[in-house]
Amino acid sequence: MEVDLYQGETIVCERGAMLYETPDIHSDAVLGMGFFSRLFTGESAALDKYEGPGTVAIAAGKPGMIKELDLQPGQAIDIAHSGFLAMEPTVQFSISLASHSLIRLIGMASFARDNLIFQNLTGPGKVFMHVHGDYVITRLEQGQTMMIDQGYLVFKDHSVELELVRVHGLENIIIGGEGLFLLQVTGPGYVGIQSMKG
Amino acid sequence: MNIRKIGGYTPILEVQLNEGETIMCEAGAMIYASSSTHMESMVGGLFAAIKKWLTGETIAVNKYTGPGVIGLSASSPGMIRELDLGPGQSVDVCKGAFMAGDITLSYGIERVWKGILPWRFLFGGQGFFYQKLTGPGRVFVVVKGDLVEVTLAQGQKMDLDQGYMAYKDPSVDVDLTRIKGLRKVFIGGEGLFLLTATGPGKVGVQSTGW
Repeated sequence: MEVDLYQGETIVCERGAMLYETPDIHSDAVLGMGFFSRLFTGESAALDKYEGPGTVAIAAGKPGMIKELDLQPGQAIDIAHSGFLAMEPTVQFSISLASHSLIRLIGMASFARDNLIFQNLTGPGKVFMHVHGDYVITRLEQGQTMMIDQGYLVFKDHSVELELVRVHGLENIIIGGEGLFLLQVTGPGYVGIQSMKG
Repeated sequence: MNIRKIGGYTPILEVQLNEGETIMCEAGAMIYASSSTHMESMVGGLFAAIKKWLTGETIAVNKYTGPGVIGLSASSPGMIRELDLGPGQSVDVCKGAFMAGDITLSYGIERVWKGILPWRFLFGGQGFFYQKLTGPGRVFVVVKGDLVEVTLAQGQKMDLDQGYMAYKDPSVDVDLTRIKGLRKVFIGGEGLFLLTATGPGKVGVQSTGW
């Protein structure tokens, strides 16, 4: 994704996503909310901010597509850690862990590394996410649930609840190919699914 | 039952199941499923399980019963192809290529090698066994990369690189050919063996190999 920036315009990107830039671009690090929980999970605690004039290109470094989401003021979404690419500086961001239960967090950390950390983003502003492989978006009604394999959830509306569920049945766990845990999402809201593991 | 392909690069096969309808899938292919669907893992017996494992697949086949929606993905770039088998018509599917199929299909494991010892196929890159699906029913194969389907006439031969065959008609005979010439083996880039397919029948060739 190539971004042309005028004097003073900025774009906020995932650390290490910069591919190439013109020499006049000024870069800086930005810290968001949830700084300490990010440190705890071992991920980098900052995002990069690029200020014009100039051109900066950002890439995720893996095969897939870039999807743009235009957030209205107050509209909130959660993006999986490997799915976040860039956003306008008007978007507020913080990091959250996917589950509040400690046992489940330990379970997730062992089995579901990618869908453990989510970026909470609140509009207004444009958000650019990187989808690995191909992309399906589904709308869940109030109370409607769906199971998603770990690593395949790219984004969800903040109104969608996420919980880690254990696969039922010993036989299913050992030979079912899905591992021990699946993600369960409950509507209302939109859910984005990617076809390759993030 | 409604089946559609989503995306073009690492496609997703989305299956909408009505109440009581069932589809069988490769274990691990599911990436999302409505909570209203019911999953059952089936193993065909210990010997069949070991053979299936040696094909490079997991040992089980999952059956999903509706109502609900499930999405399947191979999780690596490729193409999904639907093969419509008539009653008694079969296809041999190679390592990693089986994604899903109707439950009306008969499922079996077939040896790749001829004779007693499989030693030649250690280098074959194709695994030791094929999964043989027999109709009636649809088979969804997923190939790595792009797919070319070649039709061979009776006796017509074609050489294939190891690991690039995705599926074939059972009438196609496949054997290993050793590359002759020391120089070709070491600097030719193809390794020690090639696969030779002899018609009649169709062979599905994938552009990314194992």
